[in-house]
Amino acid sequence: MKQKILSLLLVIILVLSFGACKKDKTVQQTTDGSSASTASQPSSSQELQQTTTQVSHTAETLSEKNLPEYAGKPYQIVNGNEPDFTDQLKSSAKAFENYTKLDSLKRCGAALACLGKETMPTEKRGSISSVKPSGWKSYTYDFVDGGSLYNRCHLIGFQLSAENANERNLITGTRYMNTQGMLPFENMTADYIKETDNHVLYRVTPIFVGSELVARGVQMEAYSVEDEGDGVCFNVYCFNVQPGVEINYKTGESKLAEQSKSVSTTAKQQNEKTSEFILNTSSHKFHKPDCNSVGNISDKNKSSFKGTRQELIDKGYKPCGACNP
Amino acid sequence: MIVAVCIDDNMGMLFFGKRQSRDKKVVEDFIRSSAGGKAYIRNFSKKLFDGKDVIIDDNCLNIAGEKDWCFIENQDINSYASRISKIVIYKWNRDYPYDFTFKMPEGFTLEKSSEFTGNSHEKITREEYVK
Repeated sequence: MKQKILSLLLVIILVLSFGACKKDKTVQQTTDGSSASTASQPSSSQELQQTTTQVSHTAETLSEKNLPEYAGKPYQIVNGNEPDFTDQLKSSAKAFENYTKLDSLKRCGAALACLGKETMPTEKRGSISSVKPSGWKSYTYDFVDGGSLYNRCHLIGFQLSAENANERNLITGTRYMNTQGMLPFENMTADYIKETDNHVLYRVTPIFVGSELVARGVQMEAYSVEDEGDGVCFNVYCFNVQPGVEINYKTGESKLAEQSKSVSTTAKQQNEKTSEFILNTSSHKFHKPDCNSVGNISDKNKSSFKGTRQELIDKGYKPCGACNP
Repeated sequence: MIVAVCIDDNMGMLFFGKRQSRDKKVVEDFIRSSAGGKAYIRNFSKKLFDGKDVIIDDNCLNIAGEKDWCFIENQDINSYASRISKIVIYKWNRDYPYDFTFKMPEGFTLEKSSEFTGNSHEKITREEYVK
């Protein structure tokens, strides 16, 4: 009898869970009012359960216990670069998006999608400032590109999902993670979809330690469906760090890193010191005059600049990653 | 021979053995540019040039003639510098992940630069370097 009651309870929970997921997605679509509504949920309960299992499974594969340590590069390969999608997910090229409900600390969970042209935006991105992701604080540092330490960082980028101010898809992420960690992989995926009309299974999992409000990083996995991973296939971990800044992941508070205070002072001095730079007016990167990349800049796009580093950053230029001017 | 490559803002070409990006307009431009000679590609680029009139040969940098063109995605061309008269670089003007970069052979200088709109790229810069 006791077993029967337990079974009945389990069935009720499953039914309620499934209903909640469907409802939640509908709410998202209505709230966003964006073209993301064109993407459909998995059509059967079996597929939905599979999706949920996948989300959990990945979080277990790379967890707070085995996080890689930041060693100067914005991302690191995970599991030999092999993503961890089930064969069932890999076998279907039907577009869908699934965003995990916020947990009790208002933190995002994994975002899983099968991306295609049908999930991509057809209009410009709107404001996302209404969303305050967990751990959201406002800090500026003069050596951070654009000034602000934190961005409202899309798990699945707008260019891929057309998801705008979806609180289940936005975390507190450093400028460094957003632009140097995640964006290159988003670009790679977006170009592939646009050029082939194929689909890409795509999952981004924020990794939180304990009850911390700011993720330590995100795991990004992708697999191109129609050509079985020939075009796009990666599994990487992007570090939610900002060089020169110490982040309190419990609260989102930050301060200048102790060990880099002198470096930062130097950086500040560097920013304010008048020097000569070579500009690429096309890519908006600036270089030291003796940088190897300078030889590859066309005369049309090359110009020299005498002034401070900060002036160039304020004008929207980014320092070259190779010569680090 | 003339060699064509595609690179990102970090001189990157590949990540974990996969091309960083692609654009139909680049393929068209390569085919059009190579009209005066043979157009060679390596097996790696086979799908990219599906249906196009190209010769697939992994050894193309060794066998291409003076007016022939080679589209190279996954090979360092420095060992063949003495056979190369011109290098055409297509720049994506974006950042992608990379672990294999393009290394420009010594002695080449920029002769010509132009821009065009790609199929999926807002702006592709095409540069020609000669000895």
